[in-house]
Parts: sequence; structure tokens; C-alpha cells
Amino acid sequence: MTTKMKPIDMGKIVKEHRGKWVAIVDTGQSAKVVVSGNTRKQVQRKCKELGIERPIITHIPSQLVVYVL
Amino acid sequence: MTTVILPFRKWPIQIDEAKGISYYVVKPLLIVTLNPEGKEHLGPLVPFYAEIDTGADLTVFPGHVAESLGFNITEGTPKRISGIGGSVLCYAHRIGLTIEYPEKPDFFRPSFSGLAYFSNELNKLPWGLLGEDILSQMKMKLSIDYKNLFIELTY
Repeated sequence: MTTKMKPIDMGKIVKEHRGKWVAIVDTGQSAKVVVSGNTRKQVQRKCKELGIERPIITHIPSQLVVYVL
Repeated sequence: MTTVILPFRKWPIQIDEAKGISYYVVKPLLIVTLNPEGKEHLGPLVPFYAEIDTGADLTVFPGHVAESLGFNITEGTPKRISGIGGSVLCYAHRIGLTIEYPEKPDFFRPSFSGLAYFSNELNKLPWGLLGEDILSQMKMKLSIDYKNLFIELTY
């Protein structure tokens, strides 16, 4: 019998950073925002200053969108 | 033969501010790293989320990912890609792409070299779409278990 796996909850990231660019450190077990800003370049620069290596830099939509791509 | 089990990611699609109720979807989002093809040890390695999208013919990422890879996005081969909601202008660039397991850094990981598409019209999409063009080249068995909420890769 296969064990059910708990999904990584991105809800807090989306709720707290809507409309922002974020740098996420995702361990494969949890994900957290380490830097947030208004532009991607601002976030990239801050990560570099803080010595954060290879975060996932992405944009959190300001409106929650249902995608059918 | 290697088998890896990976979790889904739970993404809210509706938040009721007053009641604090969120509606979620569970998404088969992987972490991938991209590099300018052939330059893995010289060029940047850019991590990003990629949704497994077996309904997509082609793999598409936001244009800012191409910029992080050092590409001038519009120097790629242009192609208009259509979806259910319309079409976006994309540019093809040669990349290397590897599926990452941050918690298992020593595992051999599936990878791909070839074309992927980038669009500045998708810059606000939080993830890329890993389409059949790349998935089919990775020579792996891919299972998406919505009952037990995991993704299984065997290769």
C-alpha cells in the first residue's frame, strides 16, 4: 500500500507576496521566501548581497488566476 | 534503475479575505535548473519551477529566465505558440535542463539538451511548462499519482 504524501503548501507565499517578485528557497520538503521586492533585478541584487545561492526567483501574481494553458 | 518520489505543490486559486478560506489545486511542479546548452560549467545555472504539462507540445518558460541565462531573448528563433486563451510570441534558445532533487543532491538526475521556448508575455507566470517535447526525450517513466499526491520518476 502506498503512503499518501503531503504536498508542499505554497499558500503562505502566495497570500503574503501577491504582486511581488520573490526569491524562494525550496528544499523539496518545504518552500520559503527569503527575499521579496518590486522588481526581479532588486530581488536578484539583494540575494547576491546576502550570499543566497541559486534561489528560485519568480513572480507571484497579484490576482489569483486559474490557468488552463 | 533509479526511482524518485517527489511531492506535489499546493497552490491557492481563490482566497476569501473575510472568511480566510482558500481553494487550492495540487500541482505537479518540479524544480529544474536551466543552463545555456554546452556551458553548464561556465554559464549560469538558473533554478526555476516547471509544471509537468503533458498537454503542452512544447516547453515554455517566462522570458526573464532566458535573461538570467545570459540570452538576449529576441535573438532566438521566434515562434508564436497557441494555447486555449490565445497565443504568445516565444523565442527558441538551446538550453540544458536538469530535474533537481534538493534533498537528494547525490542522485543521478534526468536531463535534456535542446530547444526550449521563452516569452516575455509569460513573465508573470510563476512557473514554466515542461511539455512533451522535453518530457519525451528524458526517457523516463513518469507517474502522477493524484490519489497519494506524489510524482514518481523511474529511469
